[in-house]
Amino acid sequence: LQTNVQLGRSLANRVPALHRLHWIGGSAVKLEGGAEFVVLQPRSGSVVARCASATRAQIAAAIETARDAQPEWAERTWLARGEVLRKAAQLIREHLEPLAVAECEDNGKPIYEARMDVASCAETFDFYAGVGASLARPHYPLDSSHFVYTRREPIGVVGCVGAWNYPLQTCSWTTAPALAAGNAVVYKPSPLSPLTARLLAEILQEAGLPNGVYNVVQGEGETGAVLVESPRINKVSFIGSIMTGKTIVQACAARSIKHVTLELGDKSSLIILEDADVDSAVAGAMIANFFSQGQVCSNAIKVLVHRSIVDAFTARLVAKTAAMKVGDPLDESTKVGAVISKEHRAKVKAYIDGAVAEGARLLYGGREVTVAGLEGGFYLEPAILTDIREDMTVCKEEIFGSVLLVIPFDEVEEALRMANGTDMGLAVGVFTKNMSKAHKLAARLHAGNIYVNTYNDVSPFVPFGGYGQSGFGRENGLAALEHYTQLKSVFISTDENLQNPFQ
Amino acid sequence: IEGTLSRSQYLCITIPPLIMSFSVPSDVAGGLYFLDGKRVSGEGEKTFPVYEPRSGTVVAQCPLASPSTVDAAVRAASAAHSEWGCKTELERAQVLHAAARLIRDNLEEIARAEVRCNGKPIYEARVDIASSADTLDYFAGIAPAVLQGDSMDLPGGPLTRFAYTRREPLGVVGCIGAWNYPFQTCMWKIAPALAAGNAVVYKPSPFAPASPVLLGEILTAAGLPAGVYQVVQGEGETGQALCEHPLIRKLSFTGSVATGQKVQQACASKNIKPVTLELGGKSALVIFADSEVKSTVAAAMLANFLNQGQVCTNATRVFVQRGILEEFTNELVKEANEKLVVGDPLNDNTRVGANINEGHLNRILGYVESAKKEGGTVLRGGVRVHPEGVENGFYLEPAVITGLNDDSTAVREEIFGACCLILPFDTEEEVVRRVNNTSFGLAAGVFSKNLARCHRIAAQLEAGTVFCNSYNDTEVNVPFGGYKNSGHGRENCPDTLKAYTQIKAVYVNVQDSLEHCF
Repeated sequence: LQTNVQLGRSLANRVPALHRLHWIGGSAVKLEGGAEFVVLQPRSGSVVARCASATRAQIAAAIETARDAQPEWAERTWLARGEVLRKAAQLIREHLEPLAVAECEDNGKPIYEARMDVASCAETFDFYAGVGASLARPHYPLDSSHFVYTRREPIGVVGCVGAWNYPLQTCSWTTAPALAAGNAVVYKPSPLSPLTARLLAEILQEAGLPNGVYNVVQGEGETGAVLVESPRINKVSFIGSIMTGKTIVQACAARSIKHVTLELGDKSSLIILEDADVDSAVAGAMIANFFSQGQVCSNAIKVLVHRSIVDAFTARLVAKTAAMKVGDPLDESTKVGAVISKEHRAKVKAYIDGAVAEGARLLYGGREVTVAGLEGGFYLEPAILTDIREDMTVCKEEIFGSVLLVIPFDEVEEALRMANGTDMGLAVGVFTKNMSKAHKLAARLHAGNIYVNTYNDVSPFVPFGGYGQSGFGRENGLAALEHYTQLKSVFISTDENLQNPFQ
Repeated sequence: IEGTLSRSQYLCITIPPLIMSFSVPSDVAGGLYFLDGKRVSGEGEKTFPVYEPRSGTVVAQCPLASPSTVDAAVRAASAAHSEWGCKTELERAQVLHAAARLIRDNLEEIARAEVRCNGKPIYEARVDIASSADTLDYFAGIAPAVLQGDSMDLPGGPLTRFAYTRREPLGVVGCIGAWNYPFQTCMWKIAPALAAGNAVVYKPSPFAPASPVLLGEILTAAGLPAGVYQVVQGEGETGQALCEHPLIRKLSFTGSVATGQKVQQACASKNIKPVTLELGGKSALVIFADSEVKSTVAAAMLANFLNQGQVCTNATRVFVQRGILEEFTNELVKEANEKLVVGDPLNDNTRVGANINEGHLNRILGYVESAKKEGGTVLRGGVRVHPEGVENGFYLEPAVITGLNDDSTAVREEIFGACCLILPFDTEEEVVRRVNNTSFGLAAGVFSKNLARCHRIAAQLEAGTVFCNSYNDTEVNVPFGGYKNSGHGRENCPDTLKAYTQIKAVYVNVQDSLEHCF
């Protein structure tokens, strides 16, 4: 076990961690035998490590390690487990800067955003450290000689397939409630961002988490498939695309039946009514599109603006977007960092170019950028398009990049139809000063998260998740804890004798 | 963290408070009031003596707070409350968790201060202080979940109207504390009160005024804003002033039934305040013949001899089924004689420390005398002793008494001292009736190996807490409080946190217009 000082050093110098990206049973491990993948830093495009994917046997071993460690962890009280998580939150805050730098290097998002992400992870651990003790475990008196008490027990071992857009945050959102409830975790980060989930292991160890309760296995699609199929895993948590989500659900039932929660993609909208404050609406549209290079599941690509204000809105939006500095994400003044990979940047660019080819007008951006000193990095200007038709590809498919479509509307019903016109449903936003309109729209929009005069607001207290094809289950809030526990009802009879009904 | 971030923009960031350095003062010379974030001497011509029970010496004269002193303290708390109440639960939780850490880091010194304040043995004080830290962590932790409001659908549907509730702090809360667990009874009230966003004005018992002031210093070091927690000292008049103050929105009281009645009346005399009362008890432990004797003796000792018997839940009435009466009695006396070492509570070996003061000690001796007069036999203890080095302290040998019946004075009235009264019984039906035959209802215990009997009896006993095969096993996440005259309201559980808030319902009409019905 390392001390806090050693932890600080280890987080500051991440090279050793990059060469031992797996974490099993309390130790950093370099596995061999599996197909190798390359770890890139999006800001520079350089290779910082090579990592072997965990093989079937290695995954099985990690799962058994978790299974062995879980019972002792589960035996501790909610309060005792909470102490470990609270300490983890404290450590995350103490080491916020090196964790943020690691996240920035691993993912490409600007350093100021990475700091906010890491701080929110601390809050998430703090929240789950405390609230498990308040979860209802009802007791029911049935009659004078029968009663029922309930126990809330962990599910066992949780397998998670994480996402690359918020590597540490999506890891925290599953790990914190899973651990609070007494489960053990085997976490597979995305190979595009394998580092911070691995660094979290060191933090949790320093916070007093017993070895084996949190494990990290690295790998690509096949590693994830093996993990979720294993009958030795009791629950799967997946964050990613709808397409992969379908595969995950099938794999989860292939050999045994498992609990599953899915956080999938979306095609969100932002509706800006005629009475909205234009500058606030511009800020909302940017918040809804430009964090993390647009790689946010809840982003509202379709910005539906009332025709009476669309010209003023568009002019100010373009000006403010053009003023955002695209550059080295480690630079304090950067507002647009690097896209996660060359392939993804090409994919986003293809959507932009395709839209123009289909008749859309490019108002700003969409060009690849070369940053001096980081010529290998994957930089792309945010794009603003208009003259959009609903049948265009960019209007129907999830882009997952900074591509904002300005779509004017005349009647609210039209905007509502366009916003609801998708089988996905993660988030929608509304900008209006009118209370009646705001609440009515909130009731009529089909999405798990509605934002009124704000966007992408998030809190560990509040359930977050999708309608429709955007997935099921909720992260955050008490709702998430229900997914990581199972309720046992214990019936007690205090009758001296049991009547035989068959006489 | 850059100043451009705000909650609505993206994510909330809580900056943890800087923990200031803290150390336990060696004496109370700095004062016994806590006002505006500092320990102060307080003002007033009339004073009361502050005793150190272990040595019987007077360590300070403390001014009695006049109504105008109380008024100033309450107004300052009210002014400080607006900022504290507006913080998020996580922000408040940071302060409370930091205080818990400080308590654990300074546990030994705080425990020693508690011993000097109250007279209990150091080994007990350590447990009290540790559990107080747990209480802070517990309430701070559950607050975000428990203090949520609700959202409701209304007839007409969401396109017409809906409602939601908010749980808001009450404002300034007044608390009157007890002397038997000075630090812990203070914590049980202020942890939920502060976690819920209230400010607190606390009046300790004049018999044990020091520990709540120490808690104030800990909270300040943990980042609690000045004025949010105030301590005033005094007796009946001071308590009355708290009960009557218009800015105090709730009163929480721990103490005797007689004073509790006065408190409840006073709380309706000027304005109306909700009141929680944790009062006394005359609890009973019921031991069936199928129990293992050694365990029942352990239970009887836990139920009688902690804290010099000065425990509200103590079961001085120990009902023993006749089949094991003799074996139990002999074993209890033997174990008491061997293990109950009376001495200076600062010694690690001491198991019985000093009673709170001379008056109380004499009162307990009075019950022992009455037992003798009414036909009881004192099998051991029941006399004042003067341990070497602390001869003037208030020490009593714990008593075990048999031969009384249900009408005896000692069996009917709350003694609040170490007097274990053994009462034989025959049947379950009989003993349940006898246990319930009291105006009190704080706690009870039942010992039996039989599953059905334990649960069945637990359902029948008129008590706020029932222990099955244990006693005084209290934990921070289980409701604690009384039935009948033992009080109302509960400490230690999510409901307690809710009891320090008020519910506001908000109806939202989202139709474009409203019609009247006339």
